[in-house]
Amino acid sequence: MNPRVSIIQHVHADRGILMGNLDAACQELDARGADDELILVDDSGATDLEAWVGEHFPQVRVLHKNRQEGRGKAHLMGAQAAEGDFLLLLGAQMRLRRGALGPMIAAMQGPNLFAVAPRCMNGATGEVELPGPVTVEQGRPVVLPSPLAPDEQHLRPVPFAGGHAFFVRREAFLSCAGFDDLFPAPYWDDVDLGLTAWRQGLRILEVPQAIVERHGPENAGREMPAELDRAAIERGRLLLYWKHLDDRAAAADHLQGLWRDAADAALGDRREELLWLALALEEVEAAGKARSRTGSTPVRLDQALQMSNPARI
Amino acid sequence: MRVALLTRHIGSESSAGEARHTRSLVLALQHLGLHVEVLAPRRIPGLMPLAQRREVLDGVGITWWNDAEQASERDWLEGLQAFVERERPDVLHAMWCPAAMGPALAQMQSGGMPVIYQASDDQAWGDDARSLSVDLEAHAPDDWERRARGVLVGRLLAQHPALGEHHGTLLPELVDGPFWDHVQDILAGPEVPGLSEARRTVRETAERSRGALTQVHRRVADTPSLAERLERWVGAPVESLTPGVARAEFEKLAPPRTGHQPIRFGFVGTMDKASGLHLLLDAFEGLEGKAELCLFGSGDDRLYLRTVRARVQEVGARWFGALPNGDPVRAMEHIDVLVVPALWNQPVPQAVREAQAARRPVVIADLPELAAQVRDGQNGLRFEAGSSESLREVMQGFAREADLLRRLELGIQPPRDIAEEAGEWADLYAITLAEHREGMEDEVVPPHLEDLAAQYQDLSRLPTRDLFARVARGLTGLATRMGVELDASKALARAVAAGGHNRDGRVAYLRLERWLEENATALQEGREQVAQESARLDEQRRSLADKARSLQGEARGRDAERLELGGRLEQLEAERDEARAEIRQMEEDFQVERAVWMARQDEWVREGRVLREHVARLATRLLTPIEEGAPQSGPLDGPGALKVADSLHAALKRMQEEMAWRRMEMAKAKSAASGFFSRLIGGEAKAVMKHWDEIPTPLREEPAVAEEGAPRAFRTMEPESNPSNAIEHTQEEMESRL
Repeated sequence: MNPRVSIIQHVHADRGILMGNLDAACQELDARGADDELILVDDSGATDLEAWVGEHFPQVRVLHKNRQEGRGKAHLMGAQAAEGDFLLLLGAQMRLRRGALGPMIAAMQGPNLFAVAPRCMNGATGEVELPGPVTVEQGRPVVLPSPLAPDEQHLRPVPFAGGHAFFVRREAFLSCAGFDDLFPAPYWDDVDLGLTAWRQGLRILEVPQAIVERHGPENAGREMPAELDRAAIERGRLLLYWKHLDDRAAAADHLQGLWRDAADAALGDRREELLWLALALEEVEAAGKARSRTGSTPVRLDQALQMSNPARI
Repeated sequence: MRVALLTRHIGSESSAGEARHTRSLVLALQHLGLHVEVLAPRRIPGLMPLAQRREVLDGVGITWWNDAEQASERDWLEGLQAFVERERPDVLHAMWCPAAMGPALAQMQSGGMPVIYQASDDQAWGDDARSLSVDLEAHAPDDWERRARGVLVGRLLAQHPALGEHHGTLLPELVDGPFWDHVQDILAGPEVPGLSEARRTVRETAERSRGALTQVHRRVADTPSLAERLERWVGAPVESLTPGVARAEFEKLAPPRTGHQPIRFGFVGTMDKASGLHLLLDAFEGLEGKAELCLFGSGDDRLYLRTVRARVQEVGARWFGALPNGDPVRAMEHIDVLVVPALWNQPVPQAVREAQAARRPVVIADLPELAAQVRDGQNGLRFEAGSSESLREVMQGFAREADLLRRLELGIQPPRDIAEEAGEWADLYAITLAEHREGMEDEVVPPHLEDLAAQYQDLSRLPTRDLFARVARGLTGLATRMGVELDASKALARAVAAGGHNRDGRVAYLRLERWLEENATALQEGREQVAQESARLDEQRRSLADKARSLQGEARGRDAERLELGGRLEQLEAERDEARAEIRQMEEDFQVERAVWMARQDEWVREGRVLREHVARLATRLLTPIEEGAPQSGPLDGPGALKVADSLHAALKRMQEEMAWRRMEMAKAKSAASGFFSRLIGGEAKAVMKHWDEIPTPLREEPAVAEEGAPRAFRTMEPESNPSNAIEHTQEEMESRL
């Protein structure tokens, strides 16, 4: 039996791009003819989207969010309303390319799969965005560039599926209540969900045959001031590590490193680094609670990072 | 609200009134709940140039900036940015602004930090904030010539080995005669080398300062008159805010001594030449023990202090040195009358406010800003600025008039309290901040990130030390949460051992230093080459300058020649125009004359024709038709006329011959009575013969001259009346005219 797919697209800005996205998604669903559904989660604050969609794409459901809470919450809301066996969560700028759903559904038949990531390409340049491994450097997680060539066509493990294009079983997504609130999208929420899955013994694969296109930056229309953007990234980096750090010796080293960094930054007048650290430290309690919520994690962090490395066969 | 106060003096070590006022103001502002951080210059031996160090003095956080007064524009900007980044003030209050700092303040303003500039002197016009010549003559702040010459003398003083911290002023007794004369030559003599460049530098500096001050958010001056002057110079509004004094500290003091005890004059403040302390000592010397003189203060002009100190002993004054703990109240205990002999136009000296708060009358120099602090004869007395005699006269008045001190004391109104001034500043800060924020665009962030943005903003407002403290607390909490035992001291010790960016930076700096040392020789050689090249280029420049001067001289000569030739050309052109006009006139005259002559010619032709017809008729009568040359009919013309003339001539000749023959015959007849005539005409022949004799004999060669009444054919024509001659004559005249 052909499983049902619910495509959930987050909407917050450009209606021109949305028109193209919906066209592509509807064509894909029509081609499958499998009683799939397309749900738009309106996070734009506008009131006329539903009428506009009803006029142009009557088959599309629109969910209106009263509070603008970002991509993570929007996807959770869509997932809760969805009826499909699988969810394809798409960011506002993402467009499905014809034939993308089939390979992902097929890939999801493998054992212990939490999610798969379609291959993401830049819609304008055709440049491929390959996910790289996650590692820990100087006591902070970093996402490295992918070691693979852009024409790589094998299914590969990836540490996480980007929050902008994420194919997952609905039940699995809802069981972990979607993305962690500790990480407001688009800062590390997807990496955290991926690491959590790997540490729970699940896997995430990239499916090169399933392609989605990115049309514009993730935050188009919602650009953050540069210094705040960087602060959110660095804060999330630390919180991610604190949530997943599972070795006492590593924790001691990490703390020691943080003291050194703080003293060094203060004496060197590198205030921003202190600010990032302070921002993260404000959330220590929340990080502790998030760590508790993760539940049983049979796989250690270092193992998870190793297993999720795309270069590993 | 957090305020950064940028001041030149603060702390008990300085004798400057400004230092005492700043300290009082900061405490008063803190009392109002404001957080104030001070940035002040100070020389700190052993530190790197422009290093900044913070300490807390009497509850006031002060960041000392090592040798900041020597900073360049870029140094000022970087230093201010570093300070502001650490302290995170909402407003920057600059109580002084050297010329090099102005652009930095302007950039701070444009970078998002509202800046208030407070003027207490003439620094907005240039680095000589007191507008005081080297020889202690006050001048207008915009006297650029004095400022330029002052710059040159300043360079000279800097080279003098014995002057030390001279503050740009000099007394003749401190240097030898030739040096003083040289200084005077520069100050008031003719043009000297470097003066034009100094003029340009002075103006450029002033313009930069002015431009910068127009860009800061708000400008405030200590007095209305200074505000008015500054507003005219800057061309932007300047408010006035009168400084205050911590009155409560002085109100506890006993009133000044009156009665039979000698009056105690006092001096409080920085002891330098501009303070005029030497004049006060001269004036006091003449009081001959009728008063005491107490001196409180210090300075860094060692040479001047040594001189003054010697005079203090000579005149019997009392030298107390620097204010004990910077406390002016103690000084006022020893003083009945404060003397301010300043030589520069100082707005609102702090010592005056303190004396008035302590109800001490003030004797003050009559420079405009200073004089405005005292109502002469009511709460103090004025004297002629720079004159020790005038000051002595005023001081003697207290000895002469027993109740003068009491009378003046009663006339003193308490000055403004520092709390009042602080309140006004707090209001200005709040208004400035509100105005500044009004002009800024709010940063828009996605709604779900607003909390994060607010948290970021809150943390951003913390000074670096508070931020670090917060981080330290957070790290302790994180360690607890992670179950790691790590106290702060151990963590810091391990951090030191682990190294970091600062150590890496130092390593990089040392490598750079080593590289510089290794390359110093090459650089030195390069420098020498550059110097040689520079000398060669200088020589070329001089040569070219000489050539240019020579060419300029030639050009000037050619200009004169050109002018002369131009004059001549103009003259010739005028003559040409005149000749053309004359020719035009002659042409017009000629046309008229020609018309006249043509008319005449026509007339002559007609007359000629008539004449020729007449001649023809006469010739017809004289010559028989058969005679050769006789005219046929009509006027005589062409060859026919000549022929007729020849015929007439021949006929005339024949008639003359005939007449001659007849005359001869008559004569024979007359001589022979029996001759033919006697027989012919009887006795009347004799009378007839007589008439015949009277007939003149014609010349042989010339035609006979016709007598009046003779037939017209025999008359000789006058040349003028001859139409032929007349025509020829007219033609000749016309040709000559043309």
